[in-house]
Amino acid sequence: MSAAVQFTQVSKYYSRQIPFPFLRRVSNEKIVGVEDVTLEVFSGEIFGLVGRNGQGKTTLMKCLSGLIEPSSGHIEIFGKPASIDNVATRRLIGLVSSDERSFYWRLTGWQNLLFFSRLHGMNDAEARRRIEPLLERFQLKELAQRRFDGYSAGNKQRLAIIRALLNNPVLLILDEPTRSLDPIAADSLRRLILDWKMDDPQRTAIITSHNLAEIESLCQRIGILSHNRLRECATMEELRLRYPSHDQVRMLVRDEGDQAAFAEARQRVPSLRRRAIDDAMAEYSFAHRDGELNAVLSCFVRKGQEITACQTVRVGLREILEQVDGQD
Amino acid sequence: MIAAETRRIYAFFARDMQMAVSYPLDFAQRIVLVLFQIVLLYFFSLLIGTNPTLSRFGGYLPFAAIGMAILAYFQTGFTTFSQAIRREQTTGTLEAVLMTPTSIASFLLGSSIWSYAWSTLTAIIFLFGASWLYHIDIKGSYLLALALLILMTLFFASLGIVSAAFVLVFKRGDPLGFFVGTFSALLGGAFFPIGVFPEWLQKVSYLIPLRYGLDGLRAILLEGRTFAETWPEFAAVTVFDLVLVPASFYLFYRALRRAKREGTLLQY
Repeated sequence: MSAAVQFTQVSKYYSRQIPFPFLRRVSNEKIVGVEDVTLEVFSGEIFGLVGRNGQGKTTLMKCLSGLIEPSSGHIEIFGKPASIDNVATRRLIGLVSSDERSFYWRLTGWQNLLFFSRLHGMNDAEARRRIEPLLERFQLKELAQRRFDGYSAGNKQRLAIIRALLNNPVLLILDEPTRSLDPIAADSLRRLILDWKMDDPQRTAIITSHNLAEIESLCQRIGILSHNRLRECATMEELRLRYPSHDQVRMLVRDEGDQAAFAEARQRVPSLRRRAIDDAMAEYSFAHRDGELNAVLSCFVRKGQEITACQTVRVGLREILEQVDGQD
Repeated sequence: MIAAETRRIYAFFARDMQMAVSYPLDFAQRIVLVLFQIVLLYFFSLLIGTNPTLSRFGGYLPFAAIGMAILAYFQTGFTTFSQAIRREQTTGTLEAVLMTPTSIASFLLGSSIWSYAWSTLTAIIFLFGASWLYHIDIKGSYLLALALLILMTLFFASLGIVSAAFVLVFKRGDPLGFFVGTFSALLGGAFFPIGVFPEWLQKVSYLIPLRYGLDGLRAILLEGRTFAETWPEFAAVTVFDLVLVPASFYLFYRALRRAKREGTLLQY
């Protein structure tokens, strides 16, 4: 697979500014944005970047889009250096930020899109041909002539995606695209991103989000930033294999309040927990490790207790993120 | 390539026009303000009466009408770039604009073109309104005046680009704008003839490029002078342009690079 984006030992440090009368002074103290990030995002991939606040997700996205210059290291987009001065890379990128202020509020949705189309060098006929199908696809055609300040948060975000797609980019950078959206609008937006991706297998997207379920469902690979460094970069399955201890088994058992089987099973599986649901039913849960499911099940079966439901709850990105953060 | 750049510049113009029209009261108020200034200037001219230093211009009103019209141009050139940067920063659109393949030159030129168009309109209303209402005799070559105005605009714009560079780095507070703007308005001869200042201040005014532009324009429009008679003013403004235009772009690129390096480009 060829690389769409290549970060090589990218670090970004910010200077602390000291308030000083009439002058702007900068202290020698450096604030770490990101440190020593080496990462390859493959062409055709949807890549997710997660991490707690202040770990460098947005810094990395701004470095990628050329809006911030890395302190060291370099970034390439389809083999070309990423920089705001590099018009060739800007033609390849569409950026969707979480900032809903990034439009002219006094203009209509259409006027805003026409303005950005012209900045992409399109004449008005080309712009119309490009904007109209996108408005239709993102269900904004009816609202196009309405002023932007009358748009809901969901529609503002849709318009931001349409703007990012105006130049038909091969790389879409989405920085917390569903941050201010309700669950239904967020779900609709995720479907639209997947549809866009399906149209051309070479299209690549990089998404940052605090919605970890969103990242799990959309992304083929996930990068985890912790302590301003890239600590993990793998598929969700690979991450689960690396952090296996947190898969949980949950069982519903009709134990009629008899805890003899629980006591016996707990001697073999110390992580086993019981939570009574009512007088007859209880929920049991324990960490899923090799052989432990059999051990627990056999205890309950031997005591003649009916297991009405049993499921493995797979380890989620949240638990993995907590573990990665806890490693330092 | 040229067509695409032209479309980009037009995009800014159309955007700014649409935004201006979306505030209809403000739009009307600006026109009324220009008319009000003409009347104000007329009564000032009555108060000042016939001053011998102004007789070659036909009195205070023609003298000040040109001064005020050009000062509006000067202020536009001076403030439009920094205001454009600051507006894009505060509205949050700078990031989106910079993500398009728009060159910095097109961005700066495009962002200023509506303000220049507006200044041209107000200057025309000012000059022609004053000359029609109060019978000012404009006798010189409009083409020659336009040529000098273009040279002056380049100078004003380059000061404006330097001012925008300050905004990129310091966000607020533009010492250059404050000092050069204030001293130019005072010493450039927009409101008073240079001859009324003390001698030492008259010498200082030779360092103010606005002085040469205003002297030249008044000489062309009010005294009917030709290029052969006004070439020193043309030469002085051209020298300022040759130094300041490349210097301003260099400073702006340096400021842009610094803001990107410090990660403060989008901060305000």
